[in-house]
Amino acid sequence: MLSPGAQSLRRGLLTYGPLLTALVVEIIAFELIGRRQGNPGFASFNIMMLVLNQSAIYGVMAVGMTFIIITGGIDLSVGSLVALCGVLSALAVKWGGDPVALWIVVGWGIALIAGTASGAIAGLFITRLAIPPFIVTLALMSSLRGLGNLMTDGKPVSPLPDAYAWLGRYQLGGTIPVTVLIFVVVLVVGIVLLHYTRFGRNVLAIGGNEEVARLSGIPIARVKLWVYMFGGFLTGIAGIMLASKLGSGSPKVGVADELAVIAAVVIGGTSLSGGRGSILGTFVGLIVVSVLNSGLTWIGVETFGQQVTLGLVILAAVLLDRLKELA
Amino acid sequence: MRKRLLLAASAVLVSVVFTACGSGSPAPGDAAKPVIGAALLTQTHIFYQDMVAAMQQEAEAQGFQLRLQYAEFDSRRQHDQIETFIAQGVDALIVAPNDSSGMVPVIAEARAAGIPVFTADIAAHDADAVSHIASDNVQGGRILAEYLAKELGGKGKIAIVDHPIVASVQDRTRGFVEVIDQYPDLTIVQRVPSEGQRDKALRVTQDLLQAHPDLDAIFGINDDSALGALAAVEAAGLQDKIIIVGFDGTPEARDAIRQGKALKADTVQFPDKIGATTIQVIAKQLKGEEVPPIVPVEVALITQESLAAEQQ
Repeated sequence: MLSPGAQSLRRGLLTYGPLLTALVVEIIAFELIGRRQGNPGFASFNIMMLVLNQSAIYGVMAVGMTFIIITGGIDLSVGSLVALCGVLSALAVKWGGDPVALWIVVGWGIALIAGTASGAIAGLFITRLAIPPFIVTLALMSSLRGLGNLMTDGKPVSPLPDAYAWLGRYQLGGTIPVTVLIFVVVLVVGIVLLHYTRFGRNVLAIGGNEEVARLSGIPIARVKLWVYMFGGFLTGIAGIMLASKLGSGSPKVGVADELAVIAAVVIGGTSLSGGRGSILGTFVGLIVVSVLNSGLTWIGVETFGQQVTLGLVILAAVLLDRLKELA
Repeated sequence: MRKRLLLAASAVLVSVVFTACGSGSPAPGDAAKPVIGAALLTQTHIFYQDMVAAMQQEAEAQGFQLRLQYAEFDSRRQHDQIETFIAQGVDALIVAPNDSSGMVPVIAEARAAGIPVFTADIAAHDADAVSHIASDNVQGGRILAEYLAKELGGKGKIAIVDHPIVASVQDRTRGFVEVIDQYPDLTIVQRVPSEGQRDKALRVTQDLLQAHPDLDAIFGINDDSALGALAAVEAAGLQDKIIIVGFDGTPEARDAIRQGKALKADTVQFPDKIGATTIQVIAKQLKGEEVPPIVPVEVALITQESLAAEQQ
C-alpha cells in the first residue's frame, strides 16, 4: 500500500504521458513551421531556456495555486497581488535611496510580508468566517489592485537603479537566469511539501473529503490558513521577479494572471474540485502553455490567435482528463 | 460518453491547428529579406490598425519582411514578445511600449544583441532607441487648449480624462496644461483615469459630472476617452453646457464633430504617416545613414468648420 503522498505522485505521473507528447509535438511543429518561414532554431537550448524564463513568474505562483486548488479552494487575487508586491519592492528602493543593495533587500522583505499577509487575510476570512474562497479572493483582487494604483497614482514606479533589475535579468554564466533558479527551488520545495510531508498529506486529505479529514483529526482551519499564506508568500516572490524583470514596479501588470495560473494548474491535471493534483503536473501544464505562446509568437501568430488557442488547449486538456477518468 | 468525449477532444484539437495556422502566420518568406519585428501596443485601436496598414505597405515597398505582435495592454506579454524577436535575431525592432518605463531593460537587451530599436507613437523613457517616430503630441495638446481658451472666453473649469502611464499622453497633457496655465481664469479641476478605453471613460466621466456639476469643458486624451465622455455628457443632458475636445481624429470622432455634438474639436494625428515614416527611418538606418533621435510627425486641429471645408 502506497502512502497517500506517493499515490498522488504516481497519479501525477500518469498525467504526464499525454502532456509530454503534446509538448514534443508542439516543439517539433514550431520548428518545422519556423523553418518553412526561413526561421529555424525554435527547438534549441536557448529558446527552451527563454521559455523556462518566461514561465518562471507564473510557475512560482502556480505552485501556490496548486496547493490552494487541491484543498478545494481558489485564489483569484494573485494577479493583483503580484502587481502590488512588485510596486512595494520598487517603492522601497525609490524611497530608501542609498545604499541601494540594502533597500533592494528591504523591498524584497516588504513584498514577501505583504504577500504572506494578504494570504493570511484570505485564509482567515475563509476558515474563521466560512466565506467561500471565490468571494474572499474576488474582493481581494479588486482591493489589492486599487491599493497598488492608489500608492503609485496609477503610474509605474521608475526610474530605478540598474541594480534593481539584477534578480529579474541576471543570468548565471550567461545562460541560466536567476529567475529560473528561483523557480526550480520553489518547484522542489513544492514537491517535497506536497508529496513527502504530513502537511502535504493533510492538504490532499482535506481536498479529498473535508468531513473525513475533520473526523480523522486534521486541523483543517490551520492547514488551509497555511496554504493561503504559502500561496501569498510565493506570489510575493513572483511580484519581486516581475518588477525586477521589467525594471519598474507597475500597478497595471498581472491583469488576468489568475486565469493563466489556474489554467496551468488545471491543464496539469489538478482537479478543480480538490483532493487530486501534483506540482510536477502543474509544471508540465505550464510549460505546454508557455511553449505554445512563445511558439505562436515565433511563427508570427498574433495575440488574438494566441488567446483563442490557449482557450482551446484548456478545453482539450480537461476533455482528455475526463477520458482518463473513464478509462 | 467516452465516444462523445473523444469526438469533442479531437474537434477541439483540430480547431487549435486551424486557429494557429489561420490567424495571420506570414507566408513562407523570402529568407534574404531583412526582418523587422514590431511589438505594438494593441490591435484593437483603429489608430494602430491604420499605422500597421501603412507599415505593411511601406515594408513591402522597401523589401522588408514585417512581423507583428501586440501587447494588448500587458507589459509582460510585450516583454516576452520582444525577447522572442531578439532570439530570432531580427534585423530591426519597432516597439510601441505598453508602459513607457517597463520596456527599458528589454530594449537595452536588444541593443546589446546588436539590434537597432525604433519606438513608434509611444516613447520609452531614457531607453536606448535609435529613433523615436511620433506625432508632435505636445503641440497637439497646445492647439486644443488654445481652442478651448477661445471658445470659453478664457474662463472656466476643465477636466482631463487621462491615461498618465503613457509618455505620449503625458506630452499631450503637458502641452495642454502649459497653455491653460497662461489663463488665470481657466482651471483644471480634476484628472480622471480612463486607460484610454471608452467604457472606462464613460464611467469615470459620470462620476466626474457628479463631483463637478459646473464643469465647462473636458479634454479626452484620445478619441475613445473623448467619445466615452461624450456618451456620459449626453446621458446627463449636459451636451449644450460642456465642450469636449479629443485627440486622434478617428472616423467616429469626426462624425460626432461634423454632427455638432458636444465633441467640438480634435487634434488629428496621421497614424499612416507615423507607420510609413517609421519604416523609412529604418530603411535609412539599415543603409548606414544617420537618423535623428526624434522624428516628429505633424498634427492638425479639426472642427466642424474645417471638416465642412474639407468636404467641399
